Amino acid sequence: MNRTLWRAFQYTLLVCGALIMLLPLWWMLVVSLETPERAGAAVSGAGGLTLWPDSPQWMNYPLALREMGSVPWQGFQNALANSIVVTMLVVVGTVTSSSLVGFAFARVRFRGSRPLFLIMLGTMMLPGQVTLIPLFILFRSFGWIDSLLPLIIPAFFGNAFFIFMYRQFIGQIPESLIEAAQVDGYTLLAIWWRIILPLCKPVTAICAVFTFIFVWNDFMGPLVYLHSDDQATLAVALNSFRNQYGGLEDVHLLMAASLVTMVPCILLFVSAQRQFIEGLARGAVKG
Amino acid sequence: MASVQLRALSKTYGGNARVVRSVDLSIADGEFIVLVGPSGCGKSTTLRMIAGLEEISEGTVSIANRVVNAVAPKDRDIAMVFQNYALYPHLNVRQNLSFGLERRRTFKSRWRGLWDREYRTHRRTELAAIQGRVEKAARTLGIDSLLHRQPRELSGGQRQRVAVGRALVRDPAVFLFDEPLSNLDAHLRGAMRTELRILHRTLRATMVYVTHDQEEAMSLADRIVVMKDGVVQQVGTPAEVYSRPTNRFVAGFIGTPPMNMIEGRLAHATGGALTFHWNNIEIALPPDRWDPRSLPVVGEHAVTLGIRPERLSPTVVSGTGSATPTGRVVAVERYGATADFAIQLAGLLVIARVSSDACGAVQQGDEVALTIDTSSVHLFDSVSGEAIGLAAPGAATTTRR
Repeated sequence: MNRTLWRAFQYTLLVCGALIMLLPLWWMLVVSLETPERAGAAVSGAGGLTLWPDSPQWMNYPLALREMGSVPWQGFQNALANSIVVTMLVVVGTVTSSSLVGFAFARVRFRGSRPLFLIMLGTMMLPGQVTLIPLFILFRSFGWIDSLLPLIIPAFFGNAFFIFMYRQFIGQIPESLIEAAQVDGYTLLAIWWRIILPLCKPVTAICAVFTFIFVWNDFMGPLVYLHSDDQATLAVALNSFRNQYGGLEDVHLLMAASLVTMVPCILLFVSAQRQFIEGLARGAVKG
Repeated sequence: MASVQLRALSKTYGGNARVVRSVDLSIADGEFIVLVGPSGCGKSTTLRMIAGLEEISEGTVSIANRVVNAVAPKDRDIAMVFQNYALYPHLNVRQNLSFGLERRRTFKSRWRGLWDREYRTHRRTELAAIQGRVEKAARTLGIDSLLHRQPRELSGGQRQRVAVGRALVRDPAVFLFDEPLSNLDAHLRGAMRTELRILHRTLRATMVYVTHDQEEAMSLADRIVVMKDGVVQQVGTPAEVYSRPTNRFVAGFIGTPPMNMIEGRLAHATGGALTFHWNNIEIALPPDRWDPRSLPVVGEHAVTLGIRPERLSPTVVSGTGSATPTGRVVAVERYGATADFAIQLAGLLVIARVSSDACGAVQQGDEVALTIDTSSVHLFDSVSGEAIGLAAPGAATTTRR
C-alpha cells in the first residue's frame, strides 16, 4: 500500500513538473490561434486566456510565414534556407573537427599534447561576449560580414566542450583496437573514420543535437554578422514582427512563426532521443 | 614466410627505465618461438617492437632480411593477435575478417564501376577473392557458421578464433601473438593450444608468441625464449630449457610445480665422487654429470642443488635408521593421475610429484623417506645463480622415467 502511495506521489510530482514545463508552450499555442485583439490583450495583461480559443484562427500560421521579412513569402523561404544551410554545415563541421581533435588528444602521442589540451580547456572559461568584438573585426578584415561564413567557418575549428567529451569517450576505447587497425594497414585518419567515429555514436548524437538546437535558435551571431534581409536566419527573421520602436503588434503571428521554427528541433530530439540519453548517461558514469 | 632477427634490441622509457636490454635473437623461417617470463619482463614490449607498435630505443629488428625499424606496422607484412582479441565491435565477423584485406584493395571505388565496365569486372573479381579467403579462413577455424554475427554475440573461444582468423586471412610473413589465450578458461585454453599447434604445422608460418604461462610455452614452442627484467635468460627447445636450465631463475620458472632448491656445499667423497652437504644430510652426486672445468672450489663455495619434484620419491618409513633423508608430509594435492606431496625436510619445504599408483600408501602426516634421482639433479652457484655446467648431453647420466 505504502509502495502504491509512493508511486502515486512520484507520478503526481512528475506530471506537475511536466505541466510547468509545458505551460509556456501552451501559452504560445493558444496565443498563436487567437484573434489579434485577444492576443494583444493577453500579452498586455488586459485580458485572460482560455484553455483553448473559442474559434481557433488556423489561418494565422500561413499568414505568419507570409508576413515574415519584408517581402511576402520570400522572407520566410530565405530565412529557412539560410537556417538549414548554416545549421547543417555547423553540425557537420563541429562533429568532424571535434571528434578529430578529441581523437588526437586521446590517442595520438605528440609533443605538447598536454599543454595544448589545457589551453583548449581554458578557452571554455571565456564567455562568448568577450570574443565577440575581436571576432567581428577579424571577420570584417576577411570581408565576411553580411555573409554566412562567420557563422559556419568557426565550427570547422572544433568546440572545446565537445572536444573534451570526445576525448574522454575515445580514451575508453581499447588501445588495441587502434593498434589492430594500424597492423591491418590503416592510417590514423582512416582509423578515425572507420573505427572511432562509428564507436562514438552516443557522443556524436549529443554533439549533433546540442549544436543543431543552439545554431537553429542562435540569435546573437546572425544579428551581429548578417545585415541584409536575404541573409537572415529564422531566429533573426522572427524579429521582423516587432515594429520600428521594438513593440509587438502582431503577437499572434510571432507566436505562430515561433512555433513553426521550433518543429525541427523537437523532431530531431525525438528521433535521436535514445542515442542522446545513452550518451548523456555514459558521460555521467564514465566521463 | 620470413625469418626475424633482433640485434641488440633495447627499449628505454623516459630516459632511464630500461625494460628490454640488448636482446639478440634469430627466428628461423617457419619457426614457432615463444617468449615467456613473469609480468614486466619485457616480452610484450619486445613483441610490440617487432610489430612496430613500440619505438625501438636501440638495436634493430629485421624481417625477411630487411631492417624495419623505421617501417610502419602496416608495411611490415605482419599480423597480430591481441590479448583482448581487439575485434571491431561495430563490424560482424565477416567484416572483421575482411577488414585488413579491404585496405589492400586496388579497385575500391564504387562510383567508377558505374561507368567503367573493366573496372567493375576487376572490382567484382577482387571482392570475390576477398570473400573466398575469408570463407577459407573461417572454415579452417570452424567459424564459418558465425560470419553474420557481431562480436558481442560470440563466446570467448569463438572471439579468439575470429581474432586468429583475422590474422590468418592476411597470409602475413610473420604472425605475432600477445598472450592470446590468457582470457580463456583452462579447458578452452588447452583446446586452443592444440589448434594453434596444428595451425602452425599446416601453415609452416613464422610465429612469435608471448605468454607468461610456461606450460603454454612448453606445449607450443619449437624454441622458448625465457626473459627476466628485460634480459634473455635462455633460448632453447622446450626439452633443453627444461632439462638443462642455464640459471636458477630458468630452473625455477620452467616446470610445474617449480624445481626444489636446496642451499648447501659440495665436498669430495672417496674415489673422487662429489657429495652435497646440507643440514647434516649428505647426498652423493654422480661425478660425470658436471663439466669439471665449471665446478667451483669444492668445500668453499655455497651452491644450490635443484631437483625437479618428479625426481623425488617419498616412501613411508617403516622403521628407524633410513639411509635417505626423511621428512613429514604436511600437505597432499591429488590430481587423479598424479599427486603432489609437500614434505617438511630439515627446515625446508620440498614438493614431490608422484604417480597416484606409486604413492597410494602415503598420507598427510606420514614420516617419509625421500629417494632422490641424483642422475638428474642440477647445481647452481648460490651467488650468481648461474648453472654449474653439465657435461655434454652424451656424457650425462640423466635418465627419464
